[in-house]
Amino acid sequence: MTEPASVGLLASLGINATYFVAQLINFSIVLVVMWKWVYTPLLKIMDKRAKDIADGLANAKRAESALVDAQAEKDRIVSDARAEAHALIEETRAKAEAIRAEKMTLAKKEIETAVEEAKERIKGEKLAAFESLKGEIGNLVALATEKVASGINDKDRKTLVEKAVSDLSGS
Amino acid sequence: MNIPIAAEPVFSIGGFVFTNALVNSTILMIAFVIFAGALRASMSVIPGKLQNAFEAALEFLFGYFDQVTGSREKSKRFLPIVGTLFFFILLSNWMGLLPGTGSIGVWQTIEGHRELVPLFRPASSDLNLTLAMALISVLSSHLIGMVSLGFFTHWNKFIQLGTIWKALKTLNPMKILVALIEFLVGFIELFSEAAKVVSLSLRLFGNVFAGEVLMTVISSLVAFFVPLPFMAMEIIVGIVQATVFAMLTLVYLTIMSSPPHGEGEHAEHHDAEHAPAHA
Repeated sequence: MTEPASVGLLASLGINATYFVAQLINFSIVLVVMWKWVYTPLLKIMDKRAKDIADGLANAKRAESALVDAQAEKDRIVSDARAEAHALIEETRAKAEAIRAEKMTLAKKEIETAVEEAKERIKGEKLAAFESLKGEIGNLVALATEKVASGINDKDRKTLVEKAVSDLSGS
Repeated sequence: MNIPIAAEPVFSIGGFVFTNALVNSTILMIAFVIFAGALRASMSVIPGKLQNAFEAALEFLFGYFDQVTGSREKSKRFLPIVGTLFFFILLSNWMGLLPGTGSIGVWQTIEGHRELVPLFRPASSDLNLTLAMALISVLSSHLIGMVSLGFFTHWNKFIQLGTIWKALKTLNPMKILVALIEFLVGFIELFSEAAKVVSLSLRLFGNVFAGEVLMTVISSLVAFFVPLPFMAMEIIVGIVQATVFAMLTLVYLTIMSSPPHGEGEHAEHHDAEHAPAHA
């Protein structure tokens, strides 16, 4: 019995049910293995990576914006602090100037007082020295007059001494 | 020199006779399993060399896939089938260019003559494999169609009973005539589905088999240097055929997962009509 023409054609092209199934199984194994072991996990990883990159870029953008804000805030704080410090320095300088002026006035007053006291003291000492000197000189004059007037009478001598003492007291 | 269209039996294991094309496809299958296992074991968010290379290949493929599907989501959905077809066909084509293919064999007595039957033969030069892949390609497109659109919407593209029923309800002879014509066209579409399988399988088989014949003839005429340009051409043919098969499958998958012509237009029309009411 001859085989149908279609079967003959398929056989001449090498179509064989057993080999067809074998090749089908071979390719199916490759398909399933690649699907389950490669494509599915790899696509998940690629998606995750793409999401991470997108998130990272968004975060970087946010961080950049925050950095700009922080920079502006820093500039504002520094500017405020600088102004505050400047005001503080000015205030301190004014206070220091006032204190200095006060101290200067006080010191001047103290010096003037000390000078006055010294002057008074010098004046007193000078007077005392002068009085002492005057006494000494009186004695000397009296002695000298006595020596000079030893040759004259008592009345003239007395008058001369009195006059000398009177002159001395008058000077 | 004899290069038969059918793959030749070379040895048997446990009563199962292996053909030389089956040997190649089995080696390739084992290589894919090893590759997939190695990639899976080393897979991480920070890729190694192997993963990086494969990801680069996928990104390259996605560039072309997106042009056909129009969306990255669909490209990702169809990648397992289309990507596997592409890589499997590409590598099976290139395996046929490796030294030993066609030259290492076993001596057999065929029709009274002692002949060297090659141990290795390009897997795609066996119609059994190309037919199996074409069947998977077309059947998966129908499966995707049924999942995406629903069983009845999908099959109504081919057996348009719903269209006839709608036309009958209008009692408009013109509409009934058009529905009958569409019903017949649907049947023609069914035949074209079978034609897809035939054309996909025969195109790949024909190209690879012709390449194998060409290489065998050229190599038997001049062993050195002269076959080199032909080998270069076969490398390109390998890429082209893998691309054609994969892209056609992608087109089938995309078409089958898209709503039928009239329905989409009707839906758009319906939306346009109701848009002002919602606004």
